[in-house]
Amino acid sequence: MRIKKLTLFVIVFLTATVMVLPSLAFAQKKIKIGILAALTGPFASAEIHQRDGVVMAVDWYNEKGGITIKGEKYLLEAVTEDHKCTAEGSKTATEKLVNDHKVKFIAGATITYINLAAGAVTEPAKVIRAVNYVGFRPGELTAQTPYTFKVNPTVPEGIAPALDYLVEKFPKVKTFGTITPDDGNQPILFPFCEKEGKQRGLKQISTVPWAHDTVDFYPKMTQLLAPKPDVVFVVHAFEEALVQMIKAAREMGMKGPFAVASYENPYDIVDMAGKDLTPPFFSHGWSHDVNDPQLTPEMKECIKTAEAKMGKFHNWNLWGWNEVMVIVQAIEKAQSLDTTVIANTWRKMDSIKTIYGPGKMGGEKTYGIKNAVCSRLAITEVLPGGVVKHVKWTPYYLP
Amino acid sequence: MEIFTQTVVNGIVLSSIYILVALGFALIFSVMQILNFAHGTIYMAGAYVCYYLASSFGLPPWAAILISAVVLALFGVFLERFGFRYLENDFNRTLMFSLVIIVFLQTTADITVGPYVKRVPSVLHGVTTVAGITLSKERLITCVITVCLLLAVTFLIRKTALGRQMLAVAQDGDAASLQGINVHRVAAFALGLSSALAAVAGGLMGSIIMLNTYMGDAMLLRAITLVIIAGIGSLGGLFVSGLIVGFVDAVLPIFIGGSGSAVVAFSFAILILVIRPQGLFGHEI
Repeated sequence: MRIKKLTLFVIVFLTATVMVLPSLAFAQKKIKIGILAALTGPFASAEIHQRDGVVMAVDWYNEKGGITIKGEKYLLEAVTEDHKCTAEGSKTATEKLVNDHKVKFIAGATITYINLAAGAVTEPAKVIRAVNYVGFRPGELTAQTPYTFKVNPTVPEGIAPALDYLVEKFPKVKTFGTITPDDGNQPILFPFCEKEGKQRGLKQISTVPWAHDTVDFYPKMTQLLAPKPDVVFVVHAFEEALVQMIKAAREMGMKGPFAVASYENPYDIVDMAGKDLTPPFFSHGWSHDVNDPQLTPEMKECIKTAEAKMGKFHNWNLWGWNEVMVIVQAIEKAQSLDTTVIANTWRKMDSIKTIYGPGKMGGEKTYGIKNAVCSRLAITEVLPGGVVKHVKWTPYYLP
Repeated sequence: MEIFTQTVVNGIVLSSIYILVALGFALIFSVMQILNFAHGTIYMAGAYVCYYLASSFGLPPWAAILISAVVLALFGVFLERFGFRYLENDFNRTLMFSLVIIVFLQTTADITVGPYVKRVPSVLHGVTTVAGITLSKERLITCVITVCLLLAVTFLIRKTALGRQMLAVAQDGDAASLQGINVHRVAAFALGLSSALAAVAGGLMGSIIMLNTYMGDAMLLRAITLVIIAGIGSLGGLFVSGLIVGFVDAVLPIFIGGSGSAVVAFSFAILILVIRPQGLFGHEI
């Protein structure tokens, strides 16, 4: 009986080994890309699409066979954690990504205080992070954050090009009122806008910060429009807030242009605010027209993939896709999975391809470290009748 | 002068919005002594149902709001029948049950409509001029509807047999039951009506402030603030507290940034709780 039990055990063990060994032999190596995004909370309507962009890009690279490091193939794997739009949530989510999921690369997030909370976890752990909206807050992107890279065009970079186009398209405007979220960046952004405006012969005559939980924008727009600026200059706002601003301003009789220094989806704006109320309006958002020759092949690929897999493309898919694109290039250039090697290599890259076109590294003078991916910004206008048109690309470089 | 006039108009509109949202919450708190923390989410669900009816079936916004009110009223009756009735007014259990409803409704909205920016079609488009002041028509109609609903609910409570039954239940449920009043039926009606009012508010607000699954959270806080300031059992007091909070939110943002106006409103509510817990117009519990 005892011998029979031993025989049975050996047979089972050998069978299991024979079944498992082949799969072990062919087990594909994987690189985990953590996604830090708002799946719940007020920013979810934007960051869920950013998350989708990362996932689509990961699938796209895997369909192409993955990436190659020193002759070995690696597939990518996306892992998402929800930061819940709070600093505490960001810290918790980042700890899960770093400690539980053991990621070495994180795509996201966007909001300053979310990034600051995440950075407190990722920098000591030497986790490379591809972040977005960097608002010059201390500790956000500095020489002390060597593993943090700004990878998408963000708000501070969008201000000067937006003002340049404003004076080009609307030469008669002389004054503007600036509105931006009350996220701690406005003490830096308002003087910055004033200075940039002055350089272009424009005067900033009103400034209004708005809290993220603002229910009604009429009081804010009342304050902004009180001195009767020619232009409403929106530094940054998610689509819901921007639509309310446009509606409130137009219903109060303001007919001048809305100049937006960030990347809100102009199609959603027209859809929600109305094709009659929206123009004149322009932003750095992107056209969705895959037949537009000014869009890059990668943008068109992202649009088509989103429409095929998600049913609908959203602007923020581009941010997510770009996050993966630049991380992969840095890894492939370094030919290493050591994040210190990758970070040092990334900083020194002469050029880097972005979803928006050719780019290069910058930010040494601006941030104290050359960790900013710089490319070009779109100028997309909403014409009378609600037609969305990509006007041009305008290059930007952060010194 | 213009900024002053616009600010007064903003204050009146915001007050109407808050009163409309708080009306159902105040009703259920007065009648059943239940703090229904899911009220904000029911308001959100009303907005989403309205959007679904208008976008999928092409219904006019008016019809969508009415049907949404009926749907949410039935949902409210369901909640009383299979939920609140068994909680015996225990605060902790009520809170937990409310959280379940919140998670369920928000997740359902997220799954069905998704994280895209949406808006309920406006009941009225464009602007109008009244006494030289330019007003959005949809905001004007919201003010009118709010006043009508407030008057209707006050009439219901004070002048109808059902309203008197609700007052009796609010005063002493056991005594009311001994008098032959079906307490559960009264509670079901109250919760159904409360949910219907939330749905109407959601449908109207869904065109003014856009849809998102968290749109009810900020409104719930405003509703709680209004009810604390007004006091239990005082729908007329709700009108006054709505004006106070609405004008605070309309005026203060012009002078102070960020969430300063919310801090002032909540501070006032806390002060009321400390010095006059029954509210400005309420009665002792």
